[in-house]
Amino acid sequence: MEKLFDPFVLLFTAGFSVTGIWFIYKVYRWLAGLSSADRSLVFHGVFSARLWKALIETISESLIHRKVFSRNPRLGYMHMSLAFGWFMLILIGNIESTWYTGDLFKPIYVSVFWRFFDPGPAFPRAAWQPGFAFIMDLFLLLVLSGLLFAIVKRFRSRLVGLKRTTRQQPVDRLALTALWLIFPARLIAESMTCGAHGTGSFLTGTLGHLFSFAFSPSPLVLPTWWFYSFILSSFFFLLPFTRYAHIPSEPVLIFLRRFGVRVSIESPSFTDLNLHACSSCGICLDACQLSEVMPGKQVQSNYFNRALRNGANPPHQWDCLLCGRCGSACPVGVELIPIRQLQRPDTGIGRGLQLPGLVGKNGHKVTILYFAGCMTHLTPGIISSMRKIFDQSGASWHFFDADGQNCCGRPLKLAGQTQAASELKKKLEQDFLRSGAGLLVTSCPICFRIFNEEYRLPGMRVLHHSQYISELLEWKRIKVGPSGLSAAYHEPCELGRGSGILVEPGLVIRSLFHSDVTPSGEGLCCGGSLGGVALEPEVRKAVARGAAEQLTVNHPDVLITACPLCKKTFKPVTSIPVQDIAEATAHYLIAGSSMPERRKSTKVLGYEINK
Amino acid sequence: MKTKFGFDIHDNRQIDLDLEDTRFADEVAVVVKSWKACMKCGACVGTCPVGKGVLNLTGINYQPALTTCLMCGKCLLVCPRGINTRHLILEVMNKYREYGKAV
Ligand code: SF4
Ligand code: SF4
Ligand code: SF4
Ligand code: SF4
Repeated sequence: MEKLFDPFVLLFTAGFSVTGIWFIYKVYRWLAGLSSADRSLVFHGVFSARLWKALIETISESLIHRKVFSRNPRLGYMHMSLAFGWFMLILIGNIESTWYTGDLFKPIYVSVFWRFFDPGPAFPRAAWQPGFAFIMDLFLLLVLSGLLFAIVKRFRSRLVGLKRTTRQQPVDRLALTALWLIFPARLIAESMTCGAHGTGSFLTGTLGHLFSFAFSPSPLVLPTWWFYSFILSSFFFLLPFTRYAHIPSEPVLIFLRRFGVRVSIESPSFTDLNLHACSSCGICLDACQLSEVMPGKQVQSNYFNRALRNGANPPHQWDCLLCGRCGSACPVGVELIPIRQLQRPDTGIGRGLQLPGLVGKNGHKVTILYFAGCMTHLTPGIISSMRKIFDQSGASWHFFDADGQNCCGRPLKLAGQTQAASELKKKLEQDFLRSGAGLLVTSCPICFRIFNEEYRLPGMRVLHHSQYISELLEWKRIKVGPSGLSAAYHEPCELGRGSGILVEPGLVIRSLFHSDVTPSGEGLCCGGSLGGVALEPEVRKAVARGAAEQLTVNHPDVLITACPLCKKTFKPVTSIPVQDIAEATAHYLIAGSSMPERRKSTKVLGYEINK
Repeated sequence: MKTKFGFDIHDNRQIDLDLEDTRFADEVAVVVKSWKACMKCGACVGTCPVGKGVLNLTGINYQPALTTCLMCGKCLLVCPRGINTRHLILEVMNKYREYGKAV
């Protein structure tokens, strides 16, 4: 057996060691930086079925890129062919070299440069050689075809389904160039070798054959392998400092996420892992409506992640609407919104708050508490509609914030004032519970989200008014007449994507209008979001205009939303009337229809009227 | 914090530019461009659920009341001049923190 070594492998080995050592160090840091609770999640996860689920997810996302496929097949093919093709080249190269050498623990470079060490039937069991050569050529072809897509994407991104692509920083471009050269360099090196020995399959064999027609490939064999080793080495040298760090990081993220770890203040290293797993694929660019209205400003999450990863201040982070569209588009599942929220510093606003008029406010017992919310107080049409609906349904309800002096705390949180938000939350929780009510209905999706996600209200259901109305309709506590009109529905971010309330608004709208409205959770942002702290009103208006245009392409008679803020934001930018779902319901209420089925409603709605 | 940012008006209605100091206001205006359009109409103060004059209409100024802001954004929605009041409050607080002058 020949000696399985040549000096050119040292280049590759050096570069690969850099990536390897970096990765081991990083994994250690990611695990060490978890809170003890999260670490025990990981510990228990390793010995559970979640491990296998994580493995399956790693294959389907990191290699096959299933989510990218479902978004855009061409883009999915590009990602898949590069990742899966490369992985298979490594795997099969390994199997082939192990098959011939019988040594499982040979140095990595042996399988990487296997064709150099075994150009033809030099080893025993050579009958398999053409088979291996064929498979290896097949996967090399797959990778090369993906590369073609990648090059097309750089210059004509629309052809692979992206309007915009990420603007790369210089070091990323360098690594990108190395990555692009890896596979052509491999093709040429292998073809030279095969040409010199008259071996190889349909790709390397044919090319090698062509080479040997034109010149004698033998003296060029070694230089081309040196070149290939050099390119590989450069790529692996650069990997830790570029977006390609996502290649080893993404599987780690998938495993930890499957074990139940989430972004939190207590586990800062998990945020770092999320940032490293971002591949800068740029899918979030098109999801972000600010790409349209603030061209050139790098608000979007790929830039945000990159800045944080480089230890810089994320650009324009206060402009982001926190609408969550990027988060739900991200194929890697980077927890973009939680990370963004943690980045907003607590400056102490709201800490000096003496909550006015809260204490002792709700002495009397009721069954339903109605919390309108700050924004709803600016759109009193919603409040009067809710009054009408409550009264018609015969509920015993109490208007908790009739004086308009309460805030739920979420706006403080969106502005980074976490401490004040949690103080506010504690006070409100007490007041809610003191009322003894079994149901809390709110008109504002912003309030709904924080009540639902963060308030601890044992024994109290929390509903957004669209859900409440839907229940009233289902249990026939109220009845509505069909309007005979068509409608489009704007899904408020906090309600739809944010809280997953999709079915109920659809039900209510379909019972009022003849349009087939089915909320998807992929709604646009109206632009009014309180997340976009620094966004100037004109920019908000531009976002709103864009969203309204898209929502009203079919010229509906009315644009329905379920949020006072969305309603107020859309009103000035569209000629189509904008109504809240509660207003529409109240408008088409049929009088005298309440309570034919009192007995069931008692349980469902928390009413106690007939006792 | 006693410093006034802007000028002062004496009781005899004489404007005193000797006391003029707009540095802070200018700095804030770099970040929140819209605030200079404020016409002191008072709508923001009127709608504020905290109701203690969180926004000082005589000019932007640090005042303890700022720390009681709920960030609710009502002031932003009612402002007829399209001023990003919420950002203004946050920025004034940030600036003071930077200068180490915050309470
Ligand atoms: S955040 Fe997600 S969608 Fe955006 S570039 Fe990173 S991986 Fe792609
Ligand atoms: S949260 Fe919305 S506004 Fe912010 S970056 Fe993502 S898509 Fe853009
Ligand atoms: S954001 Fe602050 S100042 Fe403005 S209305 Fe709300 S509490 Fe008042
Ligand atoms: S509402 Fe606007 S213009 Fe009126 S005082 Fe407040 S900030 Fe100034």
